[in-house]
Amino acid sequence: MNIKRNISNQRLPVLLFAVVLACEVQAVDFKQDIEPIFHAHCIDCHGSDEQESQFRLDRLATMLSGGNSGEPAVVPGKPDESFLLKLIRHEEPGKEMPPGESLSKGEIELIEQWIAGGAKIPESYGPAKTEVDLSHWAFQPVKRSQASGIDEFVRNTLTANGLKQSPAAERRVLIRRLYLVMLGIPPTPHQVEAFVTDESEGAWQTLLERVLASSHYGERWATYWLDLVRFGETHGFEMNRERPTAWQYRDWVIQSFNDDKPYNEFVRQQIAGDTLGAEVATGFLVAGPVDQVKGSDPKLRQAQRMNELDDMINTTGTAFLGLTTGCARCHNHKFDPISQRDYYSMQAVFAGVQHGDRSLPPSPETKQQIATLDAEIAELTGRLKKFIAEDESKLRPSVNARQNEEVFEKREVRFIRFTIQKTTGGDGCIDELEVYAEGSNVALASSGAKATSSGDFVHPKHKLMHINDGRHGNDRSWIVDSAKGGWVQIELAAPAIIDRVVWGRDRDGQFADRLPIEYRIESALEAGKWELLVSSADREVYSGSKPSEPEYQFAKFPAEEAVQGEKWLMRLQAARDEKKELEKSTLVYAGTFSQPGPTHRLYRGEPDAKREQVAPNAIEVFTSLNLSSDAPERDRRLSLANWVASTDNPLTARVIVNRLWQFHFGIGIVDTPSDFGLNGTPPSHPELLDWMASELMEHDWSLKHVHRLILNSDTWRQSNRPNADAVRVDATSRLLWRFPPRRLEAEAIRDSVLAVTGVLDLQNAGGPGFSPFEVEMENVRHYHAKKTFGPADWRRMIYMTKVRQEREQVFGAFDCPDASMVVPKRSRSTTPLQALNLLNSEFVMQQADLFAKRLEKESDTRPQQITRAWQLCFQRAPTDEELADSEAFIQQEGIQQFTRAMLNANEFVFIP
Amino acid sequence: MSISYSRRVFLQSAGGGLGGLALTAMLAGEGRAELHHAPMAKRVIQIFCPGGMSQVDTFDYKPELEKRTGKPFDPEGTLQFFASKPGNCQGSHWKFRQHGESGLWASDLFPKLATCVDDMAFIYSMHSKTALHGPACFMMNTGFTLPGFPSMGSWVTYGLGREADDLPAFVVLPDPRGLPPGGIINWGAGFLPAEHQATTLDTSNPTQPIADLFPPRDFAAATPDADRAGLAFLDQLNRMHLESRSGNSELDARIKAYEMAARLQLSAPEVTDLSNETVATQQLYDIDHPETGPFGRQCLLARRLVQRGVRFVQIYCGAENTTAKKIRPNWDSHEDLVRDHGYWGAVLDTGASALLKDLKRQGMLDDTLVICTTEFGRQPGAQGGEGKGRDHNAGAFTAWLAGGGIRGGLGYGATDELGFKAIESPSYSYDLHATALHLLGIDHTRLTFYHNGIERRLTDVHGHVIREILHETGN
Repeated sequence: MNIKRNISNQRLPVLLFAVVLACEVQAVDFKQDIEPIFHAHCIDCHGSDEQESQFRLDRLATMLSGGNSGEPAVVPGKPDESFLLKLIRHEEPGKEMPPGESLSKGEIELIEQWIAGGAKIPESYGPAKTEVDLSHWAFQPVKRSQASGIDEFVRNTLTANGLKQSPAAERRVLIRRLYLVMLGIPPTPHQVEAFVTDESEGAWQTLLERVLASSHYGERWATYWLDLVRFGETHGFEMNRERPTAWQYRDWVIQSFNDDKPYNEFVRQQIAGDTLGAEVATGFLVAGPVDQVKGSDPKLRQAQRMNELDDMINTTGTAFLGLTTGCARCHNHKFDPISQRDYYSMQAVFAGVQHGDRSLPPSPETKQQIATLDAEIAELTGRLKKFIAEDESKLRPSVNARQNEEVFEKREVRFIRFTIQKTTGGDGCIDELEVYAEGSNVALASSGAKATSSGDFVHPKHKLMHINDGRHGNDRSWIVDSAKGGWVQIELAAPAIIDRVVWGRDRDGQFADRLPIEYRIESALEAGKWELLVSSADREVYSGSKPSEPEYQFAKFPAEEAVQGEKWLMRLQAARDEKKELEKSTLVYAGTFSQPGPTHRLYRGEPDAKREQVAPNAIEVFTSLNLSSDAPERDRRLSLANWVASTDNPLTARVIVNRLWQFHFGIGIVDTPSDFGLNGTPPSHPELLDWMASELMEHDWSLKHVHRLILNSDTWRQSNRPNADAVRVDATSRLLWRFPPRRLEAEAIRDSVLAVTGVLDLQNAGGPGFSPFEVEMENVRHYHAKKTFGPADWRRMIYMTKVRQEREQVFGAFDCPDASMVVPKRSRSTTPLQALNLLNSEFVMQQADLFAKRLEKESDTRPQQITRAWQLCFQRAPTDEELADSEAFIQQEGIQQFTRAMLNANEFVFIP
Repeated sequence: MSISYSRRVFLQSAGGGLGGLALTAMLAGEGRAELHHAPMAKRVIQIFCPGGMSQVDTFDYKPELEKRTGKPFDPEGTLQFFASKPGNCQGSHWKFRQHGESGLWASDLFPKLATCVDDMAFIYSMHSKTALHGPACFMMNTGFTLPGFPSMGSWVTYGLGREADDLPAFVVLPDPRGLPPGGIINWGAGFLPAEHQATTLDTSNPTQPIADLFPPRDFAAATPDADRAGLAFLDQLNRMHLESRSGNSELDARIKAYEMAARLQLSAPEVTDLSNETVATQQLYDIDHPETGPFGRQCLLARRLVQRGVRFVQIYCGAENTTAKKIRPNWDSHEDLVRDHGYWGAVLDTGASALLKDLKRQGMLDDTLVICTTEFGRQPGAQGGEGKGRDHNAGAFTAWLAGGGIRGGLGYGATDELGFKAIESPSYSYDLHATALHLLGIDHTRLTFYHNGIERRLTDVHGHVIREILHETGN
């Protein structure tokens, strides 16, 4: 493929060429000394005819920018930084140039001198930086052409190919198609009859509005989105442990579809929801797999981290932009104008994102509940005081290594200082210092608080930034650099009314050394005006054993009082448990954020081949985010999100309307739905694509608006029956001379089975999922397929816990992705194993049984039961022949064999 | 406007993305794919030893390491291994001897395999990009350290299609103790259509060797006769439905899939029933031995499968990697290599040697490629307080191949004098995969599938056929 791409990423010092200092290097003349060398040895592969490795030596711009290695080939005045010299000196293994030969020593010296002398070159070699060719259709602004609607575009293309649209499908077919495509479950016989007999003019519109308003729409379409963003509820890799709080992101996606959240907002929230009032949405960033096995080898860890970030860059690029940004990790993108430098600029955007649970600010209701419980706990503790054995009545439990809570009267502060006076041994260590105002931790760096200290112990695992990064454990802790009197201080973003400080040494519970056991915590509203908040003085002396509850002695009191006391104590314990539970429910696997260090371009993508530092940015040829290298973490993501979701972005709207089209018709207008770049396929209906994209943007990015346009078209409502002439021209119906037939996806098959047998639980929507596996809680998790099923398993499949790297045993075989990779379009294969699963699995056999019972309960005679089965499964009555055959078959083999066959029938699993 | 379909546009729209050789076959209307060149192997049996098999205790003889036993491996203290700092040099725990006419070295861990060295070619210079089990297993099976790429077996069936019409083309026999690190995606089809997914055979369950092969017993109505009648009824329903929709290949394919399922119900129990084998054969594989027997059975079953036209069989010798009080469930010998490699060595020795001898005896070794590999090697320096274990080593391991165009009795590549790093002809999984595909008649650079912007290959953008270990042929 011959692609014109000339891009110079080199940020050139201004005047580099204008000023060539009169230096001692003897002047080399390019025309006379250098060009002949290039022409003799290089230009065949790196000239106007061929550009191996996207590098050419007949243009100044590419000489400076280099080829797809991302390394500048010629750095004027700096021979040692010039990649060209490395290659001709044979210093890069595997890239010795020219291949199979060597330039003479003299020739190499000439080139070196030429570069050292400023690499002067004739004007005919063009400018130092050339415009990038952005004429590719998808990089052009969206152009709206005049048309009456979808059908006009489709018919024009059909006519040009000597084809015409098929007649409209009959109503029974339409309602089945509509329910399966939009909701993923078949309509009930009642719904079918109502539509078929509705003689009003707007019967179709009424029906489709009802369908669009159904909450099952979000449940159906969320599946596609979760595929696209590789959402899973386990970590994957070797240990593959659970992510028990990840389900909230799934619910957020479903809710967003159902609310018809403007798509641009939907996009922005997933990249930067923490700043946009949609915390759960950033589950997108960390929805992918992550290896929990971390080697001690620092290189290995670095490579793992690079992979985590690559997953975010790649998913953001493919899901929203339809650009394979991940392809520029090791070299400039082979086809698209995405340089390696762009890739690492995007890495800088995500560099502060870590996998993990984030504790969310509690909802107002939860906050209220916690406050009520706090008040109750305080009151009960007060009432119970008199029962405490005397000598203990004044002291709080001793500190413990995991977590300590310091509760005090509300007060307004700006600064909090924790001073360590004595530890269990060694310099003091704290993994996290939290300061609470109205139930939210205001000490987090991500909410703008700043940490300072009297001095830090220097170690890669122990850093000052860990003190308020929202992450726990020894590896994310801070150690003071002095044995006694050292302190750490948090300056809040703004004064806040606080009532609680929480701190610990190692919340993972592995370490108890370095634990501060004598300390004081002070606060100040104005800098320097410290007041004591709490200290260890009223705690019991640390003994290393577990801190215990104060000992209550009820026996000394009159029976009635003692009973009352015991009740209070029971309630106190229950209240504490309830509070713990409430606090836990605010965790969500949506990543944690901390201010990252510098990001560098990595030559060949190798962590130990650092090149120039890059600032957070997007793709240079499209935009600049104008951020500095040390831009605050959240600004980075927010800026990127705003660019992705802007109406000026030529890709975002096109990419999503194409996806909607694909999920309606089975194939997109662009058939490479996550690659709109130069290596993707061209659109079959480019004007239609742009028309829909502009419709989307003009209607507040409403996806339901686009659905309406599609569902109201004749194109969507035409019959799917074959037509021999048309098949000869366009066998795959790509041009849409009919509605392309296709098999349902795994989820819709399972949901359909449950719907017709009558056990589908539609009420139990949202919340934690149900698992198709029994989990063996080994260090490395083992997932064993469940053997028996009951109502808890009969929810919609979207709520089935998505275990990465595993396949659900019955429906997984129907091309269900395993969430290892982003999947823009599932394959649609037909295999004997699918047949076996649907025929013989415990799950389906039980459903066949339930189906038989349903039929026998709802209808009296065999013909009625058979007719009912047909209506439930296929939305039509059986033909006389089908009815007679079925009756004879049931007579001989029983009704369960009949229902089992119905659930396996082609008609049942295909969209008509 | 008319559309000009590029080749790939056509492939993509031809239903789930056909490509490569399978496409050539489809266009030509043949049942068989057209190969890139004449094949030397028709089928593959791959033995995978998860956990990390030590090279220096098995086939990669290092006298210098023996000499330095007890001396610090890393005197400068600059190295950091996966889980530990290097201990002292530790020579092989088993004595090495030369064997066969070739005089190749093998340790006493493998007395039976040692008698086969003249049929085996050893790649001493294998290395991996990672020292983590999961990613390294993925790399060895799929060419990528990240999860989700298609496995070699899937690529092979994608390229070559199915040979038998009553058995799957790609079968995996996991260790009866459990799955390897990373689980089932080690043999996943990734983005290839699901028909290239492996079928796992559960040999511990003779009545149900394939999941859902037969209905569960507690459904009394599902007798074999009733099932046959049910299938006939379903077929009738589907054919009536097809009548007015002729030319829909997906509907047709689904009818055929049910026919194939019915054939599997006959063939799968037959192939997994080892009782038809002669007593001598059963003894060769030692299938009743309490420890080595289960793997011996898998090896014998693999031979039966390829005999009946299965293209690719992968056998696991070891399971997942959990810490164990007694013997580790795979080769991952951090604490006690003599104990763990001792156990697994005996398992591999019996089964693999029997397989080679049996294939040879049946005249099948010539066109059956046998590959044995692990995901990475182990350190020449000892691990643990008592120095009885070895840590992970991505820098070097040994793989061996036999049959199917492989020239036996030779070694390729080399590690340094201690067996720490591959230094001569270092080879990645790419090279092993390229070589295996080459033997099957496939050019690894031309077996591609478009996915998310890239024409993907098993060998990514790498891979060289290791011609040094092949029999001389025209290509």
